Amino acid sequence: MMIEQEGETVEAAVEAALQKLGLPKEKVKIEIVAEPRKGVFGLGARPALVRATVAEVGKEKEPAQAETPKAAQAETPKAAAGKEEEFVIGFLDRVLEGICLKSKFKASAVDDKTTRIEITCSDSALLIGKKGKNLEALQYLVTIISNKAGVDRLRFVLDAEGYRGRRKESLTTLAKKVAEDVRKTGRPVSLEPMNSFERRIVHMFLENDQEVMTESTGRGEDRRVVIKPKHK
Amino acid sequence: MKTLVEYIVKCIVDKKDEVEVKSVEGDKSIVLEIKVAQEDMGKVIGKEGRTIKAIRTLLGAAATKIGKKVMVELLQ
Repeated sequence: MMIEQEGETVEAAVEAALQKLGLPKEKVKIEIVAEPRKGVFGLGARPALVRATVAEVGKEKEPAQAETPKAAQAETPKAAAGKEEEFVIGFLDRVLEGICLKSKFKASAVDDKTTRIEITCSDSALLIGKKGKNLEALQYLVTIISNKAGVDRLRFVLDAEGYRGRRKESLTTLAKKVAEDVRKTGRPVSLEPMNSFERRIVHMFLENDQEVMTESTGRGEDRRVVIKPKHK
Repeated sequence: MKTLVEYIVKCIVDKKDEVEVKSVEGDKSIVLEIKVAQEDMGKVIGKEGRTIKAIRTLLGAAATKIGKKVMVELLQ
């Protein structure tokens, strides 16, 4: 049995391949098919590709047979993912070119269903926009077109210059501060409207808090997180 | 600008052949009029207008790059 796996780096690809197979490194033969390459303006960029072959020493036929359909299953969504990824990057490339932004893209698998696309471009401030609104708009369109074109429900998360990470940091800082206020005053505080990803960060962060709880209220664009004291 | 909006809209709709974009360009502003098949209207607008809003946001970004204002209209 053999599978091929892509990843941001060779190490990441090997790790992912081992995880897919559910086998330790010793039982698998790893071949590096392609080293990762950055490419120019998103052209020619490619992830690392490794081929993992399971060493079948003295194995009975039964598990081997059991593994075959699994391998077929594992490969079909992966092929679809590759195609979709290409499609999404093609879309991004054309749209950003239309905005006169020279960009490079780097895709990496976060998990089975999520691919992160890191965009490096000549004007990151414009790409991200005020409060991330340009990046969100692009993200939204990517979700629509990938769902439309896709076989499987894959998610693409766009990022530029570590924006998502920075945003997560500032949201947790805010949540910490507001939770402290709520604890002191005992009054609920509503945060400004945020999208689902951002609300999730706040909910998760305060999930195990002893004294405060979180809740989302409002509809659509106006949906926001309310931090309030827990009632005993 | 015209090619950009045309490309984005064509990615969203089913009837790509029926997408028409007219661009009226002034000194400081550009008006882009989009026409799509009746059954594709909902797709271009999106749930609570989110799709058309995203298109407007991106076109707005493109417009600042060339120092103009842009208006995106979806015609019935």
